[in-house]
Amino acid sequence: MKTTLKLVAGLCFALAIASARAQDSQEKPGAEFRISYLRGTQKLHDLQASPMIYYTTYNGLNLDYKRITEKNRWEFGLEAKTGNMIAPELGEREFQIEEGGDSFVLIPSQYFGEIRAGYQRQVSSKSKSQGYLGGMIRDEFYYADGLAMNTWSMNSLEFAARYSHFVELGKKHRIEGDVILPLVAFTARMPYSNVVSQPEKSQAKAFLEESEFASIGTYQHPEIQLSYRYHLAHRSGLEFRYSLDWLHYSEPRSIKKSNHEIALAWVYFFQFAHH
Amino acid sequence: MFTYKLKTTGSIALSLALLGFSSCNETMLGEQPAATPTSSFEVLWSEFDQNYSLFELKNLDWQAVHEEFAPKVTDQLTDDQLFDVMSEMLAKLNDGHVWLVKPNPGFRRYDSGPEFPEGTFSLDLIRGELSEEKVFGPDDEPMMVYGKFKNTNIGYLYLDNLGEAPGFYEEQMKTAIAYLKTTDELIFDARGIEGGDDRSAQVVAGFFAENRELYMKTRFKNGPGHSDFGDWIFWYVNPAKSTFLKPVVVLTDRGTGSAGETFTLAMRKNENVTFVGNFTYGAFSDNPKTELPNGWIVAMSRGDFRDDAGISYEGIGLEPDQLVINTPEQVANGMDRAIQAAFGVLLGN
Repeated sequence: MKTTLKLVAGLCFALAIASARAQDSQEKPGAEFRISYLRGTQKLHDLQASPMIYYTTYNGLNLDYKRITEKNRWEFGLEAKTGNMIAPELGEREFQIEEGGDSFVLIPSQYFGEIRAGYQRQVSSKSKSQGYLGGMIRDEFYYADGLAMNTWSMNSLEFAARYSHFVELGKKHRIEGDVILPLVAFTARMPYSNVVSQPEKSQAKAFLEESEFASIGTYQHPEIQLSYRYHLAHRSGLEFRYSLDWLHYSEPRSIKKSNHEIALAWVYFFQFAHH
Repeated sequence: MFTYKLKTTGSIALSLALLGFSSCNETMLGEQPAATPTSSFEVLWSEFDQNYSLFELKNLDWQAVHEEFAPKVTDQLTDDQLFDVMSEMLAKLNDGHVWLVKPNPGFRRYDSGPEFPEGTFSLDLIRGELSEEKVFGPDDEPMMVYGKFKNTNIGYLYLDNLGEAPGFYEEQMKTAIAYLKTTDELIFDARGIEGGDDRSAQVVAGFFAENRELYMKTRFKNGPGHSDFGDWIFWYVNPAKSTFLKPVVVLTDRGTGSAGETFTLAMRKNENVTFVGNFTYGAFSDNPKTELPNGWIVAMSRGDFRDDAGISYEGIGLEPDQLVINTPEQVANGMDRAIQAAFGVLLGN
């Protein structure tokens, strides 16, 4: 874990020094590419899977690309995360298939991530701050094998409103706050029976075919992000980000989930133009 | 200037911090049941009450079961005493897909279904009679064995399980059938198939099908009521591209369970097939697991599986055309009466 952090930080600084040689300019970047190392904790209470709360401390990687004009911002991004699921109340449990058989410790691994695309339009602009309002489409997927010895999965395609506010603190510092609120979601969860079995269909297809639309009345998944960005040089910056989201969906049985996440990112600016 | 700007973001940061702290509070995630014996017992009982699919089929009054067993559970019970009470309660279901496990230290497993004698089938006995043998998987625990019996043109095909994805069996069966095409008859030994994927069972049966036929319908619990089920799902056996339509005997016994039984259901629609051996086990439905507040894990049937006529064989098993029951003593002495009867059927054709 420490080695990974050092590697990411080292990479960021090396790239920052290299790009610091770039010529300074009054031009503003028309695009940026951001790579982030993610570290977080997910707490999951899915009554469809278990009456107990599972914690997943995870690592992950986020990549995103933003296209920026004076009034518009487009974003495309993806991220992947993985970690082991532990129910603190249950601890590590060692089972056997049968008495006298080989034993194994039941610690499911969870794999999850998202793909997103969004657009925002500037709605306020002062000398040192701007606000952007828009929407995003985001697909979040989760998979774990071995949660209570079952397969656990969820997929949610969300259509969300998003507001972002930037505050410039001098030439090199910027703080950004984001609020994301899904309004409608197309969600697939394990069915009430926890069985996905259809003739002549893959399990993934049978699972996704059970997706249902949910509105904000039954599906709540607000997210807030706060980030601090330091401009290292003309073409690069470092960013520290904290995000928190909370999910509640009631069908077929209640699922509640929260994520706390921090991210350390290196940002590369390009396609400079006079604004 | 920096201080001034912090005012703009200060409220956001404070809100975030407050929300962050409050999210640590488990009220945002809901409460967990206590890990006491009484709580674990109640969760076990209610999980079955809301999810078990065969109460009506078994004509079992689950509320009466609660009234019988709940008074036996107190928070003073030891783990082993609680396990005994729970096992006694689950015995009422008499369901081969219901089991309970308690983790180490002191691992215990309880199976609710009926027990049958072991040692009534030996693959090694048969392998000794094959003149040519093809094996897939480890030689001592093969996933698939096929070949020809010595001095005959009768083929033999054994499947250990149906636990892999359908594509796996499609490839393996294609190879096996290409080899077995030169035989005049075939014995398909399903006595080792304890379970697997029903879709794989469907694929394997397709290699012996002449026509597309409905063989099974399934439905699954979709609510807490004992009769809350989703729509029926219809399963058809579809002829594969390369088929074996000569006479086939399928051998079954009490070790043929779950997906092995849905395979047997599918093979019953194929006219060239005769069934010899013992009844199948009688546990058809998928059985997802759930866990209790004390960390124990329990599996239960959550589906309703019927043949094409709507008959359920849960707890009964599928009856062969010719009932031949091996005893462990016969098998230990090198005798497999079921395979002898299969020869009788094929040579009598």
